[in-house]
Amino acid sequence: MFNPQARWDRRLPGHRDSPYPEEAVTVVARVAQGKVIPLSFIRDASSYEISRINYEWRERNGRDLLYYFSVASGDDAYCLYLSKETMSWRLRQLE
Amino acid sequence: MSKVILHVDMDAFFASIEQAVNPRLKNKPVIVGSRASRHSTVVAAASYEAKAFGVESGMSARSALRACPHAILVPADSAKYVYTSEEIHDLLKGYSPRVEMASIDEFYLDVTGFDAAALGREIREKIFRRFHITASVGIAPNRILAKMASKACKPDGLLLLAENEIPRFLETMPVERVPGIGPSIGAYLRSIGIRTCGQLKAIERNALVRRYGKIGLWLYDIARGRDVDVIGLVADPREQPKSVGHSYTLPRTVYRENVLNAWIRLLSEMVAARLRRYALEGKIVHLYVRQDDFANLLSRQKNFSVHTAEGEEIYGRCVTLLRRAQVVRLRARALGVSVSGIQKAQRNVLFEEDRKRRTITDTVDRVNGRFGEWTIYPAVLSLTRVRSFSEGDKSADHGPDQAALDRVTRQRTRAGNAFAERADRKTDCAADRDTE
Repeated sequence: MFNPQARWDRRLPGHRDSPYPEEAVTVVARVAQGKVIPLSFIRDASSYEISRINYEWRERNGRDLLYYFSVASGDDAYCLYLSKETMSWRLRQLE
Repeated sequence: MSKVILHVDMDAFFASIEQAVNPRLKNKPVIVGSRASRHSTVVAAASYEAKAFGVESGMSARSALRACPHAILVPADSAKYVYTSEEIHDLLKGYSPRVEMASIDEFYLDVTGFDAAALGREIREKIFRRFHITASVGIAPNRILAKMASKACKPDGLLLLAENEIPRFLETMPVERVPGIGPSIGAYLRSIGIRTCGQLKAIERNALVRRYGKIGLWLYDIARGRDVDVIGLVADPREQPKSVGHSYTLPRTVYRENVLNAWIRLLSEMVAARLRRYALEGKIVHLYVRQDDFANLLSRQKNFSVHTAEGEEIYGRCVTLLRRAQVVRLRARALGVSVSGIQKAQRNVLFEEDRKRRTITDTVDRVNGRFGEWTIYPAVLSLTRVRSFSEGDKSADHGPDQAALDRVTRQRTRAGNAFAERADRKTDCAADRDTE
C-alpha cells in the first residue's frame, strides 16, 4: 500500500523550508465549531481584509500543528499560518 | 457478477493545487520543481498549459524552461499535496470498503454492484467543490482498463468502459499507453511491428511466452483486456510493512565520498526513524546509487545477522555494501536506502553499550517528536548542505564553516570505517544468507 508520508516527507535537516520571506502578523479570526477562519490581518500598521480563502491545509511539525490558509486580499494573495502550539500567526506573500 | 473498478486520477495534481492556492497562477503554464533552484531541479508536475509546450514530469527544469520560457517555476511544497491526498483518500473511503491509494494522486475503488457512473460523477464534483481541482475517472471491469480509461479522458473527464466496448477501445490503443509496458518491452514490440493492442492481440500466446515468460502471459491477457489484480480492503493501519525505504534525487552530481556518505547517513536516519515509529526493526539492507547519466545503477543488498532500527547501524551496513562494490569514481545523482526482513522491535538489549545507544536514540526521538523532525540530527548531515561539490569545484570555497565540516567528516569517516570493519567481522562470522 502506498504511503504518501513515506514518499513525500522531503524536509531536510538545516535546509530552509520556504524560499519566501516570512513575518509575524496579528490576525483577526473567527473560531466556530472547531474551525478557524481568518478575517483580516494587520501588517505595517495597515489592516487587510481577507476577501476569500483560496485553499487550506494542515501540517504536523513535532507536537505542533500548523493550519495554513492561502487567502486573497484585494489583488494580492498571501499565505497565513497559525501555530496551534504558540497560537501565533505568520504570513508570507505569494508571488 | 463481473467486477466494476473505478480509477480516480487527479489532473496535474501538484500544479493544480498550486493554481488553487495562488489564483494568479490560474490558466498559466506552471512548473512545480522538486526544489526551488531553477538550475538543479526536475519537473515534479506541470500544468496543462505547460504540458501544451511539451513540458513533462521528470524533465530537468532547464529543458522545461527552454521548451516553455514563460512558464512559472514553483517549488514543491509536499505538506499541502500530502494533506490533500489524504483528505481525498478519506473522502473515497466513504464510497467503498475497498479503496486503494496507488500513489499520491491515484486511487482505485471496487464499486461492484453500484451505479458506477453516478458515483464517478459525484466523486469528481465533491473533489472539485472541496479542493477546486479536477480529477478524471475511468470505470472498467479491471484495474488496468480503469486506469487506461481515466488516462484516455484526461483532463476533467469520465469514461465508462462496458464489456462490449473493450475490444474497440483496445484496438487502436498504442501499446506504450498500457500501464506496465515500459520502454524496453515497448521498443521490442515496435521492433517487430506491434504498435497497438489490436496488433498485440494477433500474436500467438506461445511466441509471447517464449520471449517474456510470465510477462508474455500478462501481455497476452492485457491485449484481450484481462487483468487479474484485485483491489484490497482499506489497509489496516496496524498491518506491518514488508520494507521501509527512502530515496532521493540529489541536487547535483556528488563526486566526493564524504558528501555521498552524508546523504547515505541522512537516508539511513530517515529509514531508522520510520522503523522506530512503527516499533519495527529489520536486518536486510538495500542500497542503490544511480549515477549521473541515470542509466548506470549500483544496487546491493545483504542479509545481516542482527535486526536494527538505528540510523548509524543502517548507515554502517550501507558503507559496507558500498565498499564491497569497489566502485571507482562514483558520480552519484540519486540514492536509495531501504530495510526489509522486518519484525516487531525487541526491547531487550544484552550489552551496556547498546542500552546507552538506545537511550540516546529514544531521547532524540522524543525531542524531534516534540519540536519537529531534525531538531537534533547527526552533525555529519550538515555536509548535505554543501553547495559546491561537483568535480570541477573541489577547490572552490565551501563557505566559512567548511573547515569545521571537514573536521566533522574526518571524524565521521574514521568512525564509519571502524563501524564498517566491525560489521564486516560480524557478518563474516555469521552464516546468514548473502543475497548480494
